[in-house]
Amino acid sequence: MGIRTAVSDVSFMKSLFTAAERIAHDLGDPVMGAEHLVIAALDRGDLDRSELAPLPLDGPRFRAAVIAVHADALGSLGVAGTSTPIDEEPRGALHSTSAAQAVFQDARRSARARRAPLRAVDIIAAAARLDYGTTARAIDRLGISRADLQALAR
Amino acid sequence: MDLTSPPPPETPADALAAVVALRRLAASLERSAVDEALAQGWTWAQIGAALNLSAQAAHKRLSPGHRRPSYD
Repeated sequence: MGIRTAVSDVSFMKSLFTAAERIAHDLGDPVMGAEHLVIAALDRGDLDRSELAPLPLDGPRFRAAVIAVHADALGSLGVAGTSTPIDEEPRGALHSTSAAQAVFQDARRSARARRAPLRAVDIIAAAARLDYGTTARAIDRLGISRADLQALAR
Repeated sequence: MDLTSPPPPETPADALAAVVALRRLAASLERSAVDEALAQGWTWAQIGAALNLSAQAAHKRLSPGHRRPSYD
């Protein structure tokens, strides 16, 4: 991997993780999860949106799906309630779930295999490889094929 | 709240999603309750006692700016 790619990846990681942690706090989660990484990736200005067409996927839709996944799960117990936002400054990748770390590492491997800088679609494609958890349920809720998302990184 | 009829065990994905959602809600309630307790002048010893924690453990886990969920 060249120096330029390495520098690009570090810059990408820093901005992505900061955004994802901010999203996590806004949703009431103290620790950044894979779902927050996906929302942050979808919200990025450098995301080539033509790569996502015609999938019904953008940051606000995925965020709404994540919220609905939790609401539905609570509803199955007859419980209603939402988490309150957390008013703390983001701290970066140190505070992330194992799923978020796995998605990021998977995305990096993908980018390295292409000998290319890390991109937002690498994150989205890696997240689509999660079989369980909030991210997988949110993708399913949107009726999006995981195979279609995984193909984004090819 | 009807916790006597959670998602059936043959759908562990649904049941575990319910666990995750409950954890998030409980953590949110805990943060709000601790913030209110501190605003009302509660000590960390009192907050800890209410949560079956020592004062030190409560402060370490729940002080604003240093919070992490108990399940993490």
